[in-house]
Amino acid sequence: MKRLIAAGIIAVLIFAVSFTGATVINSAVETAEQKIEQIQKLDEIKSSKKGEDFYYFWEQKRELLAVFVNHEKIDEIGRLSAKMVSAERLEKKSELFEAANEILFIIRGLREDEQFSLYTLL
Amino acid sequence: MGDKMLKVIARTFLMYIFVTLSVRLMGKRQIGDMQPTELVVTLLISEIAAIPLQDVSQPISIGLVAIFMLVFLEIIASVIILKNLRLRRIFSGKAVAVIKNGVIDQKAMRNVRITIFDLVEMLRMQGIFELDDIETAFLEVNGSLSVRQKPNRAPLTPEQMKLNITDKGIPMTVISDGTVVDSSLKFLSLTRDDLRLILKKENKTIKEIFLMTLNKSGESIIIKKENNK
Repeated sequence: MKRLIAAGIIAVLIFAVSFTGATVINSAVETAEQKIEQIQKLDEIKSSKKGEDFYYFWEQKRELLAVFVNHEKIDEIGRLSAKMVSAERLEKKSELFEAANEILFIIRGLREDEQFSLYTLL
Repeated sequence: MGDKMLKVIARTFLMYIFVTLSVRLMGKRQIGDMQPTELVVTLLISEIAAIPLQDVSQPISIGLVAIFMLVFLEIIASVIILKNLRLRRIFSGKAVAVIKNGVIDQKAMRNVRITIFDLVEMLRMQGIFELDDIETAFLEVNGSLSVRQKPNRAPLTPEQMKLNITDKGIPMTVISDGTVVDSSLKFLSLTRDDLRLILKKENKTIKEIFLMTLNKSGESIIIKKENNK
């Protein structure tokens, strides 16, 4: 009986960690995706400060995300967001879009990792 | 000390606690006594625990969930195996008689893939050097060999010799390195005061003693500490 209670507690722990992880990742990925899509639609880049906005958003999220996501991916997005800020300040539209596209690719990868499919299973 | 080193130390500390707890939950068996399912889970846990320790970019939660899942599966499997004999056979296998009625079953030995050298070695480890002494030998699920010797070759028991032996009980360690082992006292239905009384008769104190064993009939073995200051 004791062992079954232990198994029950473990099952709750597994569910709690998995559910929290999925919620944290999905919420961060969704907001990040929206912010990047807004950047991709920009005409006037310097005044919008969307790149900077994304940079601070990511700085805020990275600590919590690190509990559930590969740190290299988090750092890579951080590096690209810094690149976006500098491109924004220098009004280099192509560089800004290039960094935004790369971030979007990584973010979509994170979402894909969260989904249960034959691809992620195998 | 760098932050990376601190991260490694903290992760190792966390993993040590979680893996120890996990193994503790799985039971008390030694490696050699493990059922196949337990062995698989133990090997997997050691592999999974190593990943976040070696690669600090991996989130520790992935390793923890995987370890918890393995322990959960092991507990559920052990409960199911306990209740269902057919599943027990599938998960754990069954004991195989490699010697029946004093005759080696060569087909059974081929099936379990042990050679005659392995068999003789396992018998020697049990103190049996003559194949002729054995009536039945089972290769157990955990890989050990259980042997029943032929009645005319087996050591005589006091019962066979019609001897009256009084059971003195198991000698329990009641003091280890100057510390009283309360669980042993409880087993012997004694209190610390009873123990002090026994020691008083021997003119010794608890702190002076390295090892003291006591059985139910009151027989004790006392070894004093060396360099007692």
